[in-house]
Amino acid sequence: MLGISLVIFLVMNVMPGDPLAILVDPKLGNLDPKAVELMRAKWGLDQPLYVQYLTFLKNALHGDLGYSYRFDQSVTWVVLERFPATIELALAAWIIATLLGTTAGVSAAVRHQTWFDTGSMLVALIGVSMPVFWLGLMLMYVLAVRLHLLPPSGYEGGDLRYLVMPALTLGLASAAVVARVTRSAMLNVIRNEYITTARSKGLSERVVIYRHALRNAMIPVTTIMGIQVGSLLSGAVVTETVFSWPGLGRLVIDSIMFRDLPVVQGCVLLFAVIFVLSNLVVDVFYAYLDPRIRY
Amino acid sequence: MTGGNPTTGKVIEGREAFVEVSSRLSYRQFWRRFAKNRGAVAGLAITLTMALLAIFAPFLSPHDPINSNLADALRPPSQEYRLGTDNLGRDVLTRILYGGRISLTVGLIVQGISVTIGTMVGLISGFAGGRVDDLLNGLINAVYAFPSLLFAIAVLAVLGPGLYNIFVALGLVGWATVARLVRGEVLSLKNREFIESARAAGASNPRVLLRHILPNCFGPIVVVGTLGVATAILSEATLSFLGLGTQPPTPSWGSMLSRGREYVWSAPWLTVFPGLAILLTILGLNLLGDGLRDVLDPRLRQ
Repeated sequence: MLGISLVIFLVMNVMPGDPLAILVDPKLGNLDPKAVELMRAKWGLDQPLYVQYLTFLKNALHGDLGYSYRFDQSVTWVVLERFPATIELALAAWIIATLLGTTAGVSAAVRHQTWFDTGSMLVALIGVSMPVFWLGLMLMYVLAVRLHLLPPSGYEGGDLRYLVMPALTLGLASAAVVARVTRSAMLNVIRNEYITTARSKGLSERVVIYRHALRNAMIPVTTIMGIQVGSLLSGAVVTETVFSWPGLGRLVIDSIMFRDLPVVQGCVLLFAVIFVLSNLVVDVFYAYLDPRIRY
Repeated sequence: MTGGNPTTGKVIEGREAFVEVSSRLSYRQFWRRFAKNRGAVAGLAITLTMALLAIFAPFLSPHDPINSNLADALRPPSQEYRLGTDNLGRDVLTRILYGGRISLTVGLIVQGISVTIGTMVGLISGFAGGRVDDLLNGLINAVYAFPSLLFAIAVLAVLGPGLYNIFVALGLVGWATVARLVRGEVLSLKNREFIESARAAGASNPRVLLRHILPNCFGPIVVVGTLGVATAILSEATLSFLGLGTQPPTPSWGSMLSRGREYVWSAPWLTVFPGLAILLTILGLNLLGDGLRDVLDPRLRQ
């Protein structure tokens, strides 16, 4: 975690580019050098780099992520304001990915080497080969432009119709990955002897597949779902841009355009925290899935 | 579905256990297995087609990719403009063909950087062991675990948009995948008997590393390199779509889609076709990569 914060800070601060240069409009003519100095001092930009990092770290731990040049507000505020929309989108997408991905993966594995298996895996392969934003644009074209079923883009708090397309876009892309992993994990498990044993005990196929096989196949599937949290966050950046969804992803891109780097830094840090936490949850979940794993 | 003969794999493995040489295939064995793998052959065909289209774009395209012709703006697909024209009256087909050159270049250069750095770091980390390995492996895992697109976005946020910065950003994240794989291979190879016998014959460390270990890593490197080209092309398209990559008027699939987004209502061909080009290319590379894995490494086959 400390490492990630350092890397992000270094990337954002060591590279060339003066944040004040973009803020001060050249068209306004020469700004009083004294005013520039004053601004530098206000934001601590005149301090040596390691002091800046330590200050940044100390403040971040206190929930203070710095100051947004563009919004003239604290980054924490700006980020928290956009946070719920992204969580809403990512959660909906994650549910779609998990349900659809595991169901498709299990169904394909159970019908190994049938047309269903081949067909669904081809669809999944196309799914992983497709740019997320293109899928979003195609959904938008078909569902909104052609069929007028859903609003094309935007966000109204509480109106779920706006959520459908972004969530589908993000969810389907992840579902393809989850389906591929689930299928191969299931195929590995089904070959084991205890599955044959379970079958020969006369258990129904349902119980064999869901109780015996799926539980054991869950370890790689859980791993990939933890990793998917990361791709959902990256995907959110893209999906939010396509659908004008007012979450963190769009905030990042807008802030880059305005070179409002503290906001970019705050968002990326928050993404990293979520990512690390979700992988921690996955690790804890392993122990539940497989009692042999102890920490 | 993806054929391949399981018995061939067993024969190879059996021989390996017997003589303990290396698991490399001869060219003939390789091609025989490759030809049997339908997915791999289809992938190679698609990839080659897309590559040739991109390479010969200037001879194939009937129009100019850059100069605008406002009189013909936003024309739907027709005899003259097979895939329609964009908001500046440029032929979409021509721009897709030229865009392929950008994608191909990005894929190859980024993957070239990734494979070079990744192989070196992986070899050193796996071979050296001890503290060096702890340090390098920590670095590898940190970069590997972090969502790569986010990292690339953060790097581009600072460097500013542009094609060269894309090489840097994607190269900075891509090497870790290769390094992780190579390190794993080295760890499993370095205590094998044929390495010991090479040492017994008086081979020095660099010689063992370069002549005996590295060649045995080629198979996995080719697989992960092929899949990595797909990832790099997809990432470039995404970053250009977000406005962080290739800048206009250079035709790139991602930036074409970014422009097309504004015209989904009136000119859907601007979004449909560049997206299809990306889809086909990535699909071809993924099929080829998966197929190569089946062919080169029977142990990994599901």
